[in-house]
Amino acid sequence: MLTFTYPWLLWGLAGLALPVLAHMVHRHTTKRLSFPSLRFIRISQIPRKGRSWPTDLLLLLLRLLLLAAAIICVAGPRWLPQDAIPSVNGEETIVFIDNSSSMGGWGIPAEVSDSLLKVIQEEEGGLGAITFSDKTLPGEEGFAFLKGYDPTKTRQFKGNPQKAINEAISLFSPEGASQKLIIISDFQSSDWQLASAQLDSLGIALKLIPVGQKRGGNISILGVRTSPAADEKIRIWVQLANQTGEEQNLKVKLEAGSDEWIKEIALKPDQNGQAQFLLPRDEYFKAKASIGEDVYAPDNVYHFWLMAPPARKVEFFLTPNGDKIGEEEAFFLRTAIISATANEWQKYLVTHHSFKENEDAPDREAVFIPGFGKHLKKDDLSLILDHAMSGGKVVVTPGSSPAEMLSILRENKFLEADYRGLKESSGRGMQPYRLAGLPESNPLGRLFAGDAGKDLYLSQVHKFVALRPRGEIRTILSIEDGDPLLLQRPLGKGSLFLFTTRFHGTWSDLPLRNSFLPLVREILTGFGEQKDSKWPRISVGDTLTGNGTEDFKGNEPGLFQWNDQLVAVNTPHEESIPDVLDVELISESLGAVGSLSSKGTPISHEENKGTPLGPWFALLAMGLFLAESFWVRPRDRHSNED
Amino acid sequence: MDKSSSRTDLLDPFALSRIEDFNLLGRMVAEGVYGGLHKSIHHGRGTEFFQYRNYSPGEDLKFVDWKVFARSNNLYSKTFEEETNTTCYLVLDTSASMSYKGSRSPCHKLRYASMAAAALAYLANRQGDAVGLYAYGEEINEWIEPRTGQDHLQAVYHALNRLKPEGQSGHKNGWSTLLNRLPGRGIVLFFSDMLEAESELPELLKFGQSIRYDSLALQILDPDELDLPYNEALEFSAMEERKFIPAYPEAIRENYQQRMNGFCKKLHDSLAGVGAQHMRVHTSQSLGEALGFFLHHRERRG
Repeated sequence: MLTFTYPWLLWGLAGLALPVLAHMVHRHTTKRLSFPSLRFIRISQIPRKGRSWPTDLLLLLLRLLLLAAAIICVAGPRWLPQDAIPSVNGEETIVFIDNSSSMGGWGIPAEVSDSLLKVIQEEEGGLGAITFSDKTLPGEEGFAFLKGYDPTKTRQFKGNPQKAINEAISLFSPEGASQKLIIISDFQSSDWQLASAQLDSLGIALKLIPVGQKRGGNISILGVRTSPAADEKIRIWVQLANQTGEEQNLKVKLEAGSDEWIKEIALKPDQNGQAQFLLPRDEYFKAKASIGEDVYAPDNVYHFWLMAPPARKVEFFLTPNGDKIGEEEAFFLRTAIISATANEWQKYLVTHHSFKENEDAPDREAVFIPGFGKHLKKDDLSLILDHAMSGGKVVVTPGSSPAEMLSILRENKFLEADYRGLKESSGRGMQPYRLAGLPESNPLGRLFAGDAGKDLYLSQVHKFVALRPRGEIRTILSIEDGDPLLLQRPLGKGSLFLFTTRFHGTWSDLPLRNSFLPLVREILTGFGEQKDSKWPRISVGDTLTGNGTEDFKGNEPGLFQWNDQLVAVNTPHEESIPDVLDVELISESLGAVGSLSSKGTPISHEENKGTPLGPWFALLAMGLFLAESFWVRPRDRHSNED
Repeated sequence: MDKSSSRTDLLDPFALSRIEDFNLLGRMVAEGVYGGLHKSIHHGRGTEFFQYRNYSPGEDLKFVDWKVFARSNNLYSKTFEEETNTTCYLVLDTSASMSYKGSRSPCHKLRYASMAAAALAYLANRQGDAVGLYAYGEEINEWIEPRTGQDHLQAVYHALNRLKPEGQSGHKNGWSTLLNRLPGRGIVLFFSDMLEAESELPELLKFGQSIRYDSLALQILDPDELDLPYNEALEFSAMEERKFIPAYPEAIRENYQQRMNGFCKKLHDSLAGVGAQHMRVHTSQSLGEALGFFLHHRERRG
């Protein structure tokens, strides 16, 4: 087998392409023009002019061989006899090299390089390799992998040692006389604290090579929070951690669009802090926070979107045959939702009729069904129930037949309630029903406490459906005599809200009251429990699952657009933690056996080096050079004579 | 100097493309295209009563409804719905094909689109319309929510200055994101060369069928793209992908022009079919014609 002392010099073979490329470039006699409307252009046959293929292809070949021989000669070729290659059937060693993000900092790559060289020189038998991203079986491939491994090229994700150890075990062949696992890692606590194995019961010896143990502290950006501020501004907090044990004066840089801002902040030893920025809202949409270089670079940068959070979707399911009251209710609700959130960071998008057309969209927050009745088909009801069970809200007002509504709700497992008739105020609306006071325990109690509740209690209800709820149903609003006006029935992760009156002047003046906007807003936000929606932020290595679309895998830090989502990908901050685990502890968790006695025939390092072939290739290069010189000389003379 | 000729000169793309400052450019074009025709700006707050709300200390007492106070002994402020004009969304395609500049043009297609957009932003803002900007190529490059005011207009100009033509055109991705965030109603002005998108764009621009939206599409091409004027044999290379076609322009010119016209006609018909207004301009053409297309439409709507 041919091996090389300086295999990286073989990249010089790529230089063989140069003469060929030069030739190809010369072939172009037509001018090239970048043109946008290429699809309307038909190909024409253009005769080639000027210099053609070299008349003497053999000369080209000779020169290429000469170049190749010279490069191989410099790379230090050696011939390794077949029996010198570690045998798979004898001793087997799998080298597990941790290539998680933290292995790129604290000067660890140099340590890994030294340790790996030592392993290759000292270990006997077939060598295999595994990292968090690659694996090779013991033998030639594994040997070549370890020789060519570049420790500076770490991956910016969090490692999963448990998975890698399990895979490493599966790489050993059943015929192996002795098996040994060598782990080169920083044994960072965030990665390794849960790793465990029973290597002793499998007869696998373990050797741990800790690197980067004497590491200095790290300064990192933990994350970024954004929230709307007054005067159309957006406030940005860059959260920082100082794990150096010394006070640090940092310059935090924020870049957005083509602008940048710098804030100076002093961080006490082993404490967190935050730098605050105030930017105009809606002017920038991509941003990056960064601090200066330190022992671990990947966590010095944090990418994030500056856009307002995605709008929450609210849909209406209207009665198809022109229910005038239902349409007016929809109008009131639509105006209320848009007005309640007009100046807010979190916007709402109100749509109609798309519930059925857009069955795949699971991101709707609430469905309003004014005039609930028999126009809703079995399939519609099943979709609506699914929506509620998966965390959505369903808001319902009674239709023309309340008894029928209650029957449909009961049959479809929305809620159970006994119908007690339709109550109307007497004296042609001169004696309306009023709302009962809200106790402290009521989810709306705090919002409508004191003066804020006056307007709500002035609401007039002229007509409502009297009913008696059964089972797990909460009364949110009620009439003074105790009849419920708004009921909440938890369904799975979501809720059904049933108003017993309608949002129409003939039923109630509630939609005209100031209190209506906050009431609708509270229902939409689940009484304040639901926070603003957010664009997804993931770590490198994480995957976002699409609904019927291709998944998104965070392969590198940055800002990406995926479907209608704006995704920020950053280095996992677990990798920034400088704490490492004790090697003894890891050894115990993995069930170390100690070193096994070698049963295979040891291979000396001298034999491993093989026979040097450099002089032979130098001789070949010289021969080729002479041949090329002789080839060229007579041709030149011949042309001169012409 | 004759007044009409001076107005025409102000709209000459050869002169305008030398002006770096979009603010100045916008004002020059407004002067050139509109003169005294433009309607006055709407002043003052809205007058249409919207609703009552509880009076908060510090609010202007002139909005307190004293009659309600006399009846209920509570202080209520009247709120009014502000009379907003329409919202104008400028959408620009920044794909690499927009970087083409032929020998007869003063600027590349994106620059021409930016000049037209800057002028329209200026005019719309002067009229009190909210102006938003959205530019996409392979991904979203600029996104400014619609608003009014001089400061906002400057932000739009800065964003136009930052645009660079690069990457492939991602109409589907670009529009799917925008359509989710369109305001309740308004005019959407789209600037693009629309190459290879005659079957994709009508589907994306069909929101123009709604009475709440107007969708206007300005197709910007270079004069070279219309008549293929080259004489020598060329190797044409695609701007958004790695593709080369050797050709004798003289031999294929007639066929090229037929196919290009066929494409433009198909695009025009299919856009008209979904209620989107379409107009084709070339980059050496006066900006007046491009702006007239939008402004006549706006005038008709009032």
